[in-house]
Parts: sequence; structure tokens; C-alpha cells
Amino acid sequence: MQSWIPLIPDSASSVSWKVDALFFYLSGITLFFTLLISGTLIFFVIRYRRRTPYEIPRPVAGSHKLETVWTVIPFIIAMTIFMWGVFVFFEQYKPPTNAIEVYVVGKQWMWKLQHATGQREINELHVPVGRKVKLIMTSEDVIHDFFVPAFRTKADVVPGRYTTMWFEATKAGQYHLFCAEYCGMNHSGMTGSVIVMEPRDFDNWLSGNTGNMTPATAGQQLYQTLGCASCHGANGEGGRGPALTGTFGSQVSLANGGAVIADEAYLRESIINPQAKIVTGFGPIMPTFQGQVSEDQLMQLVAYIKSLHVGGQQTPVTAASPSPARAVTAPSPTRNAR
Amino acid sequence: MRPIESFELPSPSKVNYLNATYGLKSWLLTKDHKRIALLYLGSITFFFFVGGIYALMIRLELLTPQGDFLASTTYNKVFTQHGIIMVFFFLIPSIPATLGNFLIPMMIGAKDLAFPRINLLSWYIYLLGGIVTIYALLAGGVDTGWTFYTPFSTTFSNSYVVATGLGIFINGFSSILTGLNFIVTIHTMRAPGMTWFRMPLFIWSHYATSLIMILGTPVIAITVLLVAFERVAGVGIFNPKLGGDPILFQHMFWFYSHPAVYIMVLPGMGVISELIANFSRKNIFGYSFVAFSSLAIAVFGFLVWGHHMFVTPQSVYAGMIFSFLSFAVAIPSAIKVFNWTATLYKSSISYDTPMLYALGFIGLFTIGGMTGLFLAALAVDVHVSDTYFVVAHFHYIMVGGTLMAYLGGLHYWWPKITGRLYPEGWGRFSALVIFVGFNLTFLPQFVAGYLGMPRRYHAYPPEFQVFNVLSTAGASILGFGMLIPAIYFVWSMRYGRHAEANPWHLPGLEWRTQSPPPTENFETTPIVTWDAYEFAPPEETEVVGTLRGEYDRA
Amino acid sequence: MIESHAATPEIHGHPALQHHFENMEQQREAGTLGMWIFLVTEIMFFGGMFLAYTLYRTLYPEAFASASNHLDITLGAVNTGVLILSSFTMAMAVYFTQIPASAVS
Repeated sequence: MQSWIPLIPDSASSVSWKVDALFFYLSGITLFFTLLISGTLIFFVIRYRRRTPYEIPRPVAGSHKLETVWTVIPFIIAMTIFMWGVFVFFEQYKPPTNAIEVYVVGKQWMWKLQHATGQREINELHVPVGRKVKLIMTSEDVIHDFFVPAFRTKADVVPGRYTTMWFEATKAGQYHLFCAEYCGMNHSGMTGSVIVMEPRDFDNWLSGNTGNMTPATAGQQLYQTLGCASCHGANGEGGRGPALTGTFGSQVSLANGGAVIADEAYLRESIINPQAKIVTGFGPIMPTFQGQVSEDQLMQLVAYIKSLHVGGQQTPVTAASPSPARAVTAPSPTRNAR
Repeated sequence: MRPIESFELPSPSKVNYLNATYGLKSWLLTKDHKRIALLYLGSITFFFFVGGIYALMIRLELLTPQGDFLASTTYNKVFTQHGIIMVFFFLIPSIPATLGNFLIPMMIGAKDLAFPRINLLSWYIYLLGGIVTIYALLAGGVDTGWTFYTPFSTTFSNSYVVATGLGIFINGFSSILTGLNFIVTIHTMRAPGMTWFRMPLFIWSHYATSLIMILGTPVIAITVLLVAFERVAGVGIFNPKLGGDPILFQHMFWFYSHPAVYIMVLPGMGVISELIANFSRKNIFGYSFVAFSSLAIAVFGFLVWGHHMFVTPQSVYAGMIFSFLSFAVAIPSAIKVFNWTATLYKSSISYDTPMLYALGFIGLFTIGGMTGLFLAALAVDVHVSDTYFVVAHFHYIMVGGTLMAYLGGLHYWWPKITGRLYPEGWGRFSALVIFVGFNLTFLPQFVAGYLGMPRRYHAYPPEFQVFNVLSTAGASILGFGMLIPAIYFVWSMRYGRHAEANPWHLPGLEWRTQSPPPTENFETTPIVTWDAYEFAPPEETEVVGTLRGEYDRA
Repeated sequence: MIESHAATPEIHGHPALQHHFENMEQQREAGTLGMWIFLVTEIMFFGGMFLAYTLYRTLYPEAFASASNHLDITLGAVNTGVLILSSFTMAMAVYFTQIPASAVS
């Protein structure tokens, strides 16, 4: 612990200094206006104090010129903050391409995380410096919120759907992980740490934990045991149901005339509520799997379907072996496509 | 001749609304808006102290980083109940139901509100809602946070959610009926000559508040009803496991609860307009700008609820629009602050207690409003939402704004309400203590919040302790400061010096009748021939920018 | 409504005039406006429920369609008829209280 009291948290991600810059801009404006208003007030209160009990000052008519000035100037300042905020926000939430993917399941009152290479962690997340990390998150029960102050980012973790967030750590170290959305009895205990490592250390860490199947492999087994293969084909090539190979990240045209980008949220919805978005040319014959698969298993199934692309299964991304860019190429920053 | 001395004050009569009739029944069945205001004053004060005790428990718990004073389940109930009591049973009714109820008819020259029986009914509804809520708290309490976020509230919480929800549902109708009564009264009951632009700004801000009450409150009522429905009957409305959508709840909740912030602060702004003008003996600079800014806030206030949801899976484009509108709604508030400040220019400022509260309000509201911009700015909100930064921000608005205005207004109209004077020295002293205590409580929370301390945490990492210790120290000073007015107000009702009809020497209609007023407010219906805050004849009005030398009337 | 300080007919003129109104016109105006505002609050109240209904109807059209097959058309029609008729009789009752008795016959 430092001998002085810190006023801003550790800055350890690629966006944190951008948020701080806007924060300092806002703090400067706040300080300026607070001093301006309170200084003027104090000056007036002393200068125009009541000197005799019965004095009556002359009334003053309002001045539209002055009022326009102090309407327009604050508005212009507000718009600079607004534009700046939007600019950084879009960067905070634009899904990155070619990122390490980590699956996160929140439950009362713990974080369960699984890397694409299979390593599981609880209340801890190991990530390398200098690589974009994308979290695909859901909750088993109530709303949680994944908050890493040092990265200046957070996102709600909502039951019944996937939300995503990303960050790129810039400084090795151990940082707080908080649940920021009140989730019940042990909310303040739903904390942990994000451990940022140098890439080589991270790869060592990854290779030192090989007890688990990758989510995609586990998903493949589920795919067989749940009988998905009977309609979608033994390897996702399709049949009575639409083909799954190459689906992820592509545009799917729907029976109702619409179209949707097949992201994680879409795949999840199609397993849980298959009637919601039916692919053109197929009937509404798929039963729901709601209640039959846990959130962990759903994520494994999604990971398997994501791994199915033309030319075989894809190897998971690690720090040392960046895969060719193939991830979602969403045309716009969306993080909640249903 | 000075207008403030020229009133023909009615010959002092021994009979007033307080002693016109006697007995408990004459109070419990009264249709007099002034007595109903006092009924509200009593019950609201009770709820304020209940909420205040919860606040002190929160601050005691957070003195140390380990959760050692309260168990986590208890702590969760304590902050939930602090929020529910303070928001629904203190802040929302505080100024409208007491000062508004007492003064709206008096300020527009009416004998009563348009619907006196509905007015009494709304107090009973408030009381019933309060009793149901207190029952829920005593039976076991509620631990969902005052926001009742689903699916925690509908499925996972094991506390008295339905009973508390019922209390809030019932209480909502009290608010709706009060708003309805105010709007009809302001439209139809104004005295001859009391045109819209002669009304005091207090009336304008209550008109805007009432609009929000009638348009917003029904939505929260149906929302808590749906929560109870899902919880009791298991119908999937908000729980995704049952096919519902938890984010829909947040949309419906904030559609009311953001405008509710303006229900809480707009009446406060109305009080401040009165205090600033009357204690500087000056007409409000840009009266119509201030009047219309209240309406603008009421309208824009309904369009910004999504800024509570920037980190939920709400579309980023929706976030962008809500961010823009949130910056837009800040402008009318800024106009008010500048116009109040400009009013003081070349005025005659007294240092009486109400004015101290008004000056404190402007400073604290400026900080509260400016920190609101941090939360409206998308990128910064992502970092600070759900942290102590948010907690500090809304306490600056709710306590630094609404509560300061409420206390200021209570001191200002106390001689009219009770016919007694409060001790001025103690008043100034406690205003100062409250101001210092408040800032010490909540300024450190901005820093703790930016450092990342999440709200609603029962235990926290030790590096945040220094800010929490400061905050708890401030809360003790604040709590002590609150006790002083509680004591001397009660004391003054019996032992205070008798107040004359117009102790502050002001032109407003409410001061042109005896203190305390007669049941019918005025002996004869007044005919209004002057503008609000008309201390000097209008022909002496100075146009800013053409300095013709300082005019000395003394 | 009569109470200690209530209307004194010599001054205010009309026996139905309540003490705090100046004249019958003002009293009627207040009542009408109050009722309209009350209707606005009702719209907001049920508006919230209809919003939720619309949302789920769009999300789960099949479920709503199959549920509607269970509706009893006769019962529903009777219910609707009763509701509309009761509104009509209420409206007529209010209307006839407001016009002088001589105009009715």
C-alpha cells in the first residue's frame, strides 16, 4: 500500500487512460463551474448584504441576451462531453476481432470462468498483457455485473441471454474483480481478481492446467448425447435442421423474412427457444432444450458450434498462437443482438 | 411608500385554523389543507427519522472493511429499507405534501385545494401504505434494494417483497391524488387577477411536479403489481426462466423512477426560488425562463430513463440517444442556477436561516448536477455506474438539494404555519453544521466511487477504508445537525415568540393574512394587482446593461 | 357536504356549492378537469400493462395464438356487452343529472 492516498485507480487497460482523460476533463469543468457559482454567490452575499432593515433594491428585468448566453454555452460544453463520451464508449463496447475468448457464468455468489483451451477458474481470471480478451457472459440466477475498476469497464451479466465485454490489459499485476450489480446475501463476497501476466507466463500457466476438456470438445460430446446430430448432421453438416458448419458469424435469413447475424446470443436462443427465429426453408420442429442443459453446457454447445467451420474444427486461441481472424465481424457495435 | 409596509393587514383575530376546532376528531376528519399539511408533516418526520436511523446503521457498518457490525443479510435489508423509506415515504411527499399542501391555496388566493376530501384521502392512503410497509419491515424486512431488480426480487429473494411492494403501490395513489388536486387547483382556483405569470415560482414548480406525479406514478404502480404477480402466481413476466425479460422491468421501473427524481427536486427548486427572491428583496431574474425550465425538466425527465441502463444489454444506439437527452435535461437546471445567482446582483441579502439553506442548496445542487454529467457521459458511466460515485451524486441532489430546500422552506414558513418564531441563532448554527456534515459525508464517496468501490457492499477491500471513515464521521455530524432543528421546532411551538402576520416583510399573498391563517385563509378573497416578488413599483425596473447609477431607496 | 364553516346559501347562492369555491361554474370546471386528469392516470396505469402484453405477444406469437383458442366466445361477448352497457348507462345518468328536469320530459 502506498503511503499516499490514491485518487484514481490503477490504469491497466487500453481504454483506461481514455476514460480517465474524459474524467479529468469533466472534473475540470465541474471545478470551474462550482468555483464560479460559489465564488459569485459569496461575492454577492458580501457585496449586497442588507445594510438597513428597510432598504428595497431596484427590480431588475431579465435579460434574454444574458440568458441565451448561459443556455448556449453550457449546451455546447455538454455536447463536447457527450461526443467524447460516445466516442470512447463505442470503443469500449465494439466487439474485437481475433480475441482470446473466455466464457463466464455468474451465479450467487461466485464467478465461474472457462478458457477456450479448457482451463476452468473460479473468482480468478488469468489473462496475458497486450492481447484482447473477450468475455462471453451469462448468469444462472439473478443479474450480476462483471466490473474490473483497473480496466474501467463493466457489463451486466444477465440470466437468459449472453452479454459480452472486452478489454486489453496493458500492465501485469493483480486487479480487483467486483460484482457491481446487487445480487443478494453475499453480493459483497462475489469478488475476485484478474491476474494479468506477461504472454510467456500466461502460456506457461495455460499449459500447466490441462486437466479439462476444451469447451468445444465437451460441446461435441453433448451434441452427440443430446441427439442434435439426428437433425443437424453428425458433424453439423445439416439435415432436417439447418447446417451448423460455418454458421457462426454469418448472416442467417429467417423464415419471417428477416435476417440475423449468428452470434453467441442467437445460437443460445435457438437452443432454448427454437421457435423464435426459424431459418428460411425449415419447419418449426425443434424442441426446446430449456431446463435440460445448464448454462455451462449451453456455453459448451455454443463453443462447439462456433468451432464448426468449413474445413474442420478450429484450434482455440492462445496468447502465443494468434489464430487467423475469423471471429464475429459485426458491422456495428452491438452487444445484445437477441 | 414602500409596498411591503403598505399591506392592509387584517385585524389580528384570536381564531385561526389551529384553534378553530378542538379534539382528535377535528384533526383526523379535517378537510382543511393546512391541517392536512400538518398531518403530513408529522408522519413524514416520523419516516425521516426511521430512514435516518437506517442511514446511521449503514455508516456504522462501513466504518470498518470487514462486515462486523451487522450480518450481510441484515445490512442488505438496512440499505434497502433506508432507500424505500427515504424515497417513497420521505422525499417524494416531503415538500409537495407539506409545504405545497399548505401554501398552494394560500399563494394563489384560494380557500382550499379543489378537492379537500381527496386531499384528506391521500393522507390516509399515504398512512395505509406506510403502515403496510412498516409491517413488512417489522415482519422480517426486505432485501432487494429499493430498485427491486428482477429476477432477484421476483424469484430469489426470501424477504417480504410482496408486502413492501403493496405498501409502495398503495402509497403511489396518494401521490397521484395529490398531483391531481394540485393541477386542478392551480387551473381553476386562482384568485381574481392571479394570472399564470403572476404566480410565485413555487406554484410553477409544483405544477410541473404534479404533471410527473400523474403521468409517472401509475407506471410504478403497475410495475410493482407485476412483480408481485410474478412472485405470487409464477407468471413469467420478468424471470427469463419463465420466458420473461428482466430488462423490461428496468425500463418500466426507471420510466417512473427517473422522473421521480424530478418529483423530489422540482419542488425544492420552487422553494429556493421563493427564498432567493424574498430574502434578497428582488424579483427573480428571468422569471419566465425559470418557470418554463420547470416544465422543460418535467417533459425531458420522461425521456432519459435509459441512462440508468448504460451497462445493461441495452442497444448502444439507445444508450447514445439517452445520453444526449440526459445532457439536454441538464440545461434547464443550469439556467435555474444562473438565474438564481443573477437575482442576487444588486439586491439586499439577509443572512436569515432560510437564506443560508438556499445558498447551501445552490452550491450543493451545482456539484450534484455537474457530477450528473459524469454519469450521463457514456464512457465514464461505464466505469462509475453502480459505484459509490453514483451514491454520492444522488445524495447531493436528494439531500443537498431536496432536504436543504425542505429545511429552508420549513424555517421560512414556520411563523406562518405555527404562528411562532424559531430561534434564529440556533437555526443558523444548525444550517452550518448540516452543511459541513453533509459535505464531509458525501465528498469522499465520489473518490471511493471512482476508485471502484461498488455500492451495496457490506464488506469492502481495506484500501477504501479511509474514505468510509471520513464519510461516517460526516454522517455523525449530519445526524447531530438534524437533531437541533427537530428540538427547537418542537420547542418553539410552545415557547417560541409569537409571529406577526408578515414577520419577513414580504409581498407574497400568504403573508397578507394573519399568522396562523384563519381556516378560510383570507377574510375576503384577495384581488391580485401585482406580480410575484414585486417589492418595488415596476416602473422603477432597471434594465441590465444600462447602468444608470445605483438607486438608493433607503 | 355540510360542515361547520360550510356554504351559507345567502352568500353563495346555490345549495350544492361547496364552501371553498366562488361559484358553480368554478366548481363544475374543477370537477370536470379532475375527472379528465384521473383518466390520464388510468391510461398510464394500464399503458404499462399493455406495453408488457404487446412485448410478449411479439416475442411469443404462437403461445398467444394457441391460448386464444381456449377463449369462450359467448362468455367474452357477454362480458364485453356488459362492460359497454354499464359505461353507457353511467354516462347517461351523469348527463341527465346535469340538465334541468324540465328539459327531459
